[in-house]
This record gives sequence, structure tokens and C-alpha cells, in this order.
Amino acid sequence: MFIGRHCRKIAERRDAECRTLLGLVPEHLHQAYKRLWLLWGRLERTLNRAAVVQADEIRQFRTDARNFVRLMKRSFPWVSVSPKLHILLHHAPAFMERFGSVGLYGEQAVESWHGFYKQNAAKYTAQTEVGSCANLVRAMAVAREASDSNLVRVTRRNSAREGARRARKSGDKRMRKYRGGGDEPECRAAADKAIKEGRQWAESIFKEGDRTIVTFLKRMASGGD
Amino acid sequence: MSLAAFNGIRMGLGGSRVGLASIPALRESRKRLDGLPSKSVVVKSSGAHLMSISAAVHEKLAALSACDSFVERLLRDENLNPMPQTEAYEPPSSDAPVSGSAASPANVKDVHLTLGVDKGGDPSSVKIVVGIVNQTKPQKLSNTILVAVCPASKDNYDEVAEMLGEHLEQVRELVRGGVVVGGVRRAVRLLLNGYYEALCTVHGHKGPSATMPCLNCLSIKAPSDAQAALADIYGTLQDVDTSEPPHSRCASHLEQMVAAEAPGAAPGSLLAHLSQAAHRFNNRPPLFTIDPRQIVPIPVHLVMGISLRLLRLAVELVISCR
Repeated sequence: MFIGRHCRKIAERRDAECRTLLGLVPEHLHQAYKRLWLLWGRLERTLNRAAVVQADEIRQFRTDARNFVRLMKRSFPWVSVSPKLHILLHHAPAFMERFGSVGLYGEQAVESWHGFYKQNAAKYTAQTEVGSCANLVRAMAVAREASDSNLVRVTRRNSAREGARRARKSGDKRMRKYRGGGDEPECRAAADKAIKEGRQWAESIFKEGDRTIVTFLKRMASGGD
Repeated sequence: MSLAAFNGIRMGLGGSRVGLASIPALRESRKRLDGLPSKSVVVKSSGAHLMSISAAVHEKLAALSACDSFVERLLRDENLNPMPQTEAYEPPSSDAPVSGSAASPANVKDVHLTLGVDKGGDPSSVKIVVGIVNQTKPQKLSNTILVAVCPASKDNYDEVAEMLGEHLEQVRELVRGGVVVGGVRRAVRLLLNGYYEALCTVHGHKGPSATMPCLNCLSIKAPSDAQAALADIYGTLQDVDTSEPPHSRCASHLEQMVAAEAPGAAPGSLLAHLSQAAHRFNNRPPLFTIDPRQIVPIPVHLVMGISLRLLRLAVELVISCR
């Protein structure tokens, strides 16, 4: 449902999510939830940054990760520590302390290849699916000749000549969301589908949440931890 | 830039008089490039594969070195200070067993390579990507090496084994022999990334819903009567007060799992005959043995998973207060 970019946006707008809970839940739980988002905002920034992280920030990351998972577990006792929360608590800080960064080594590039193939599939079509894949791998192998490591100039800059930076295509000088073909649905059917999927997602989240709480209450009633 | 766009510029500048290569000349040089080992592609039943990872990595490193863009990546000590690399790498003798799990000491000059396996996209396919971390922007698409694209709607063990099987021997050879950058032989420190299920598949692990779901340590999922003995020894994921998990996984265990299923292994040592504490939920032999500290903690998937968990938590909070 969400990709990395959406998650970053959700974290940026955490205040809106926390405001939704005002009046619906006791104040101390609301404060705990707000603190979780605050900690997560900091963790997410350090975790995903594709650069070497300074020692102080690494130490802060370990402290924040510990506080985040403990706060989650103590304030919301039905939360079960999943493998992902466990990795965040123990193994991500350990990796960062050893290698100096997680984002530099992460799977972002592999994910980007999916997006690239999706956007450019038409360029590499062949009679068979595996033929299309071969066209892509072949083209990308040749295109490596034009990568940063071969072209000494690492930053691409448009000419400063007058008029050179003027928008020429409909997508130029526009934010991603206004370019079309990005986040915005292109037609009514696509918009309807997006709304339908959103509703289904919300419904499934609600059902799952309901099931988690019911299971937790049953366990408490039977004298479990 | 497409050939048509290039030709447009060429014609605008004056055609053949300006000295820019013609379209047939460009096509001819592309054909020549296609024939290089680092760029040749083979099509197998599993998908389209680059013929030589090793040649592609060497080519990329040579280009980085030539334009002075090679960036050292130093390991940190316990005080988080970078440890200088002073020694050149000396590969083990050719008769020594080939293993991907041996990590070179921190003071040996090295190159950090990532091997990523991930299924996704539309049309759905498994992609295998090698990244070289010793550059300024290792995550930039054009700075990575697309090794294979395999059309697949599933990525179970047997399929991934077939896809990776094309390359594993070359990767092992790279790790064993190292690479030469700027005239100095460096060790290859291989790191695995991808999404969690794919990492589990590569390790022959049962997956994130197994009793011991972590690839780095032996903590069990949750305390239960059935797993009380394991929980006492290895601890659980729910112990958030411990500073470190009590028992880490190690590469030697993965090597034992490979040996257990190797041809000629004693029938009693087969994975199916081992106890839970012995196989530790590696129910298939690992495709590649690596020091578990070199498994990348999936930052993109952590962000997506935990953000979603926080959103769901809000719903659960409201339900719990009704």
C-alpha cells in the first residue's frame, strides 16, 4: 500500500495523526503515542540516510531505538515485538556501529530497479517475457559506461545560458505530484480503484486491530502475561 | 539520450562535418560493448543473467579508481572510531576450501560489495543487484550492477536457488580472491540485502514466522509452553530490557547446514533428522554462507513496516479505549 516515500511523508505529518486521537483516548496514552512518532521521526532519518553517520548520532540512534521499542511495549501491552522491531532494537544499531551507516548498504537500489523497469518496460519489450528481461539487463550493462564512475563530473548541471533552464516539456519545473503519471491517478477508473483499495486497506487495518485487542484481552482474562 | 535524439543534435550541428559518430558507427560500437565479458548477457530458463559478475565488478572498480572516485569504507571500533586499513589482502592458497563466510580483519584493505535479491515490480520479477559501497552515491541506480532479471511470480527456495546458482560460484571466487584497485589487492566484504523473506530464502531459513525468526540471533518469537525450553536458553524477541540478544547466529552453523545436505553426508546428519536446537529453523541448506553481522538490516522495509505498525497502533488504541 505504502512505499518508502509515503512513509517519510506520514512521519513528517505525524502531528495530524496524533491530533486525530485527541479526546478519543486518555491523555497519557495520547502523549505516549505522540512520543513514539517523535522518536520514530528521528530514527527513520538516521536509518535511511545514504551517508556515513557521525558517532554521536549513532549513539543517539541506539538510545532512541531502545526507548522507542520499550515505550511501545510498556505503554501498549498488546504490542508484540515483531522481527522488524527486534532488528530496529538490536541489529540495526549494531550494524551502524560497525559499518558507520545502514542507508549506504540498504536495499533502496534494488527497490528502485523495480520502479525503473515498470516505468520503462515498453522500451525493452520482446516476444517473450524473459526476452524483455534480457533486453533490460543488456541495455543497463552498456549504460554503465555512462555512470558517475566513468564520467568524472559527478553532479549534472544545466547550462547557465539564458533560456536554457526554461521548462520545455509538460513535466519540467513541476513537483512530482503535478507531473502526471506519478502519485496522481490519471483517469477516473484509476481514481475509483485507488479509493476502493484505500477503503479495503482501512477495513483490513481495523479488523486486524480489533483481532489483536480481542486476543490480548482473552489472554489477560486467562491469566497470561 | 536515445540514438534518435543524438542524431537530431548531430544533424543540427552540421551532420557528418562536425566529427560526431554516425548512427551506424554507434550501433557498431554498442555491438562491440555487448560482446565484452562484463556486458554479455545469457538467457537461461530462470531468466536473463549477466555472464560475469566478476568482470562487471572489476570494470566498475577500475573506472572508480581511474577517476579518483573510490571512497574508503572503514569499519568502526568499539568507541566508534574508524579503524585504518593498513594491510593488503592476501588470498588463501588455491587448495584451501572456498567459503563466503570468512570476514577479513578490519585492518585489511577491502571493498564492500552488497548482493541484493528482491522480488517486485510490474511485470513481477526477481532482480539480483550488486552494489559497490566504495563510492559517493552507491544507491544511485546507474552506480549499481543489475546482475539478473528473472520473471517470477514466486520466489521460493528452489526458484531462488536456480537464479542465484548462476552466480554463486563467481561471487565465492570474488570473495576468495579479492579484487585489485589501484594496484593493491583488496579483500571483498560481501553484504546481503533485499527484503526479509528473500534473505531468509537465501539462508534456507523458514522465514519471519518461524519460532526463531531472526537471521542474526537465536531469540525465539514469544514465550510459550511448547517452546519454554528454547526460551530459557535463547531468550525471546519480547525481552526488550536486555542490552543484546544472548545468542548470536554464526557463519560456522550455516556451513554445518550446507555440509549436512552435501552429497555423501551421513544419513543421520541430514537437516530433516536434526533437532530444532541443532538446525535452528534453517530447514534447507543455505545458498550462501556469510557472517551474519554482514546481513544488512533492511532499512527500507523497516521504515515501511514500522510506519504501518504505528498507524495500526492508533486504531488499536481507539478500540482498546472503547
